[in-house]
Amino acid sequence: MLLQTHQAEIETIIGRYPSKRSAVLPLLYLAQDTYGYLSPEAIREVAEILELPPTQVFEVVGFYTLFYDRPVGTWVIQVCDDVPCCYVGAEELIAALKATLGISEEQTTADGMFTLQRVKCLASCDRAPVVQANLDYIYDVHAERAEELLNNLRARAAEAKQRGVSGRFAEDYLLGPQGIVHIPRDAPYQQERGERK
Amino acid sequence: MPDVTITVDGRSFSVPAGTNVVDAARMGGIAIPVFCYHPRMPAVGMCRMCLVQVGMPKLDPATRQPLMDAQGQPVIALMPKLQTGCTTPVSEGMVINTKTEEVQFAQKGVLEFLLTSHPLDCPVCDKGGECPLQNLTMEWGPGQSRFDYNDKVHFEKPVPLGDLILLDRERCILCSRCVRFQDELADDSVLGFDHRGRNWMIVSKSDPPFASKFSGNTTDICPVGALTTADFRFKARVWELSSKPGICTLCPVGCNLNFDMRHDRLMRVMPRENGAVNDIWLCDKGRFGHRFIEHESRLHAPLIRHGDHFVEASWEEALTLVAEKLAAVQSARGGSAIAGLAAPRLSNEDLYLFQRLFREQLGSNNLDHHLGSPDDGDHDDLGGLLAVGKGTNLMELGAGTTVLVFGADPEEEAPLYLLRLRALVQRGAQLFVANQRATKLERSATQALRYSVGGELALARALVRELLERGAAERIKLKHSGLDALRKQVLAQTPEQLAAAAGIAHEQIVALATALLEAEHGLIMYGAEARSAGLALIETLGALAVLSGNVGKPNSGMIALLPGGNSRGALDLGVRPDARPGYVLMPQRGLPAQQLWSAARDGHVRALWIAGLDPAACLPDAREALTAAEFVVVQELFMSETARMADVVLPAASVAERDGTYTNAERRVQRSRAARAPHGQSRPDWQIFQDVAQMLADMMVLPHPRVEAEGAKPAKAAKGAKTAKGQNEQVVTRPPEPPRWDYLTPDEVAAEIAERVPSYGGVTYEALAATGNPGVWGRQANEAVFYDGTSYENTEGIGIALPSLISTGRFTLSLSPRPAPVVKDERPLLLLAQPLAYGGDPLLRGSLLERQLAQPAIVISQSDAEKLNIQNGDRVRIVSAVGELSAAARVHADLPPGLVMVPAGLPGLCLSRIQTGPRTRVSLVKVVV
Repeated sequence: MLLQTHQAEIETIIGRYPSKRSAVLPLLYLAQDTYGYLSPEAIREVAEILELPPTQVFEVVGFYTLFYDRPVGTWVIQVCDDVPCCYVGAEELIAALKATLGISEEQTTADGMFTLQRVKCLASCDRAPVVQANLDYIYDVHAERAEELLNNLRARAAEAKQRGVSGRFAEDYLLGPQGIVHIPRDAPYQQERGERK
Repeated sequence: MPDVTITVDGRSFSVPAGTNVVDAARMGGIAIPVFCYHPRMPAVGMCRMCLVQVGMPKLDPATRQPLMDAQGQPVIALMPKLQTGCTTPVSEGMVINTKTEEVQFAQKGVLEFLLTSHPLDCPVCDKGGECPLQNLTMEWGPGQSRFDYNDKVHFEKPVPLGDLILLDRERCILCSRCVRFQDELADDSVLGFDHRGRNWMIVSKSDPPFASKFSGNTTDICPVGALTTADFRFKARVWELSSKPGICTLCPVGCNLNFDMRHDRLMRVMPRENGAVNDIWLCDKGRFGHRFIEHESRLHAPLIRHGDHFVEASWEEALTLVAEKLAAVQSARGGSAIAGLAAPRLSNEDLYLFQRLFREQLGSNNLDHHLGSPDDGDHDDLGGLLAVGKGTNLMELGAGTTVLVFGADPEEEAPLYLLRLRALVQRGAQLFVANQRATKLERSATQALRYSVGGELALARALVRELLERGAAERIKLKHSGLDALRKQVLAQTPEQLAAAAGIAHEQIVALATALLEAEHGLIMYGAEARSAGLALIETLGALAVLSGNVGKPNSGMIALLPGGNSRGALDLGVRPDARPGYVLMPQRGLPAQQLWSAARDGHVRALWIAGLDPAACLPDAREALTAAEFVVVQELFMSETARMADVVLPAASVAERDGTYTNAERRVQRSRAARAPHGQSRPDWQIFQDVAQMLADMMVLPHPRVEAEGAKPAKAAKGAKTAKGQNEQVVTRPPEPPRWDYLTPDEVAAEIAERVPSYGGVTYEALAATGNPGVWGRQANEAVFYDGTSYENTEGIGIALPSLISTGRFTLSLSPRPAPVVKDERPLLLLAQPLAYGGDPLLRGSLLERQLAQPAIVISQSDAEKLNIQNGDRVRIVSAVGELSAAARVHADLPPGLVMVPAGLPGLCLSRIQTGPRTRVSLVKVVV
């Protein structure tokens, strides 16, 4: 039960808002990180903590693609397949990820490491194609480097597990010539792009 | 609000400022098509169907005056894009065009989009024939679609949203009318949208799903066939149905409904608009709970007992036997050896003739409409005496109105009041909800007053004291007595003492008293929990109404929530041992139901006639009495437990099989009409009473002398008699010349009631047929086109509101207080019989609601549970001075300690076995297995 395991954190979150219901998103993230995904029971638990009709909390979960209402892997890989990303190879990237992982969209690898999803615009068209892994942004990902990306993520599985799937502590990365590069939050915006062939 | 002048399609007219463009155009007779907009709910502008061209007078930037063109007309600046009419309020000089090419292009476009994935399955859709989507497409839509039929999205269907309502996702246009109805009107937020974009869908995640007593209304307001009821699905095409106007008798609201019949079969029940009663809504009990009419277990022929089994008989045989047996008992032992009980769901005509039969033909006053169970309580006179005045219309009330709901759970006792009271609050009324436990209505209250268990009388007295302190006594304009005694009683305690005893802060009491005093209109509604506290409380509430000046005028007074659909009619028309029709008290009283069983067991009452009640189901005393009685007639719809013990069983026609009038909680008399032929050989109750009365009249010397003597000396009778509440009775001086038993139709009975019962004067069938102003719905310009499904116009009369008895000037109100009931029992807990809409009502048989019937349970508070180490589901036993009862425990966080709640009326859990009166003290133990 969330209220038992995270009581102090829940109280802090709720205390930030004038009315309890405003805490619905942070509490859902908390529940998602705790349980790995939002089961109907977890959603009802949040509803009960916030004294909301369960239907309203289910509505929130259903609306946002970043709430997972079924079990997902350690890394949820979301690839933008909207127009700009498509122009620079999103479909090829998706095909490569599928082939490498041996799964199709909305599926999770047998080892529970990766879940693959297509999403619409991630608002980083200038660095397309864009991949989002547990909300870590990874820019300039091309099909031929799919495996490299996956290896990097697999290597950081423990980190992902510790941070949770919700991306509450997500960071930005660039898939540069030397591999994946972390972009600090306060770094100035860089026009630098990954090498293209 | 001031009026503004607008021009719609070239026609200028005035509408109130603040009206939205759709409603404003409608006032001018111009229809703007809508899907998501509904006049009963705030606009959201989701469907885009109401797009219109809107222009405003151009202002001179310097002078802020409208610019004029060469002709002296104001220059109109059209808004650059079309506007949604439902979300645009009108303003002075606004120009609205609804028929320009641009608007028509938009309307066609919106409809084409809405239809992109519509399955076009009208031939198998329940909504077909009364479907706004069909209608609007015909009127405003494109003849053809450019979308390929094969590209339509398909979904699994139907999706059950609950037991009663099914969703067809392909038909849904996502207008959110159903979601908004549940959120805003019904206050059950059980519907919502899941996913988004193309996958958007309605879901219900409450437990159980779609847990609302008003769910059926969503199918009425659904503008497409997306929501259908499991009750009507695939049953009939709507154009085959003929709507027969009826009145719901399942609770005291008296909702107007239509029995939609195909030939002689009931296909569905729909609300019929009545602004003063149910608006355009109907609760699920009324909508789905009428399947009993056609239930296979209905009695179809008279039955006569032969030894231990029944044999079918002709009416002639059965009625002759009844008349002979009653005549024999009458002549051998007198009228007092005969007793009659009639259900508070029978019509006024039935009830009136029942008491005539007993008083005039059998010389018996042993009459009642109660069950004779320990918690019957006293007859409720105040709800008639201080009833809301003639001309009351809850639909018109808003700001300036104070409503106090005291000891009632309207959602369960009279569900539709929940919608009406919420609407009142939304229009600005103040709602105070006083109760000892949480009820759903409390969530809508301006202020909730949770009095301590057993603290209700202290709260009522504290309120009366506050009013008296403020000199409210001078406001009383009615004939009254006992004011000094009342003053003395309430002043004996300080406000602080009373507030402490009530468990309510003194400031809250002052606030409520102030709101009642200052209200232009004041309503006090009380229910089962208040009534169980006894007359001391009810009369104090009456004093509260009187002292705050809220009686004897329209829209003010008391509303008593009594069981059944026509308890008020039974009280008005004298189906009680102590008063004739019109609350005329009798010097010689008969036995009330509660004393009946012991009297029958001891042989004082030899013959019993029970119409529509089933005391044997739950009362061991009644079973004993029925066994001991010499002769028992039961008039029923079904073979009830009581009928099984009868000597003669007479099949009665149901509410849908006969004409009749019913008096609701606000004392509005409404007419219900026959929708089908009586089941089998069953007959209307009034006819059965009349047939037996005729036989008796032919058979025996009438016991008239006594009755006549009583009527001939009204003054003497008045002197000695006191009502149950202590008011002096004033007997009608009209000498009762007993009418003959030759009514051909119920309207002749109603005409006689109108003539002989003072407050029913003028209530004839002819007068009842008047539709007056049925509300603000009605059918207006092309309204059916987009409000089809809810536009069930009331062409059959909206009923007549009776004047409150006090305003007739024939009664004196006694304010002298009663002492609080003394509780000798030391047991720690107070037992509360919780009235439930889906309790043990036998009329719910055959309906889909049977699955939702309450489960037997003993509901206890969290703290009592912890004290006794009781978990949910543990078997517990409650023990009173007279018996014990065990069931599974349900721990309820909202229940105050000291209270035990048990669903009332469940056949498997007979509360009457342990009740010692309206209030029973019990102790609770955990059963160790």
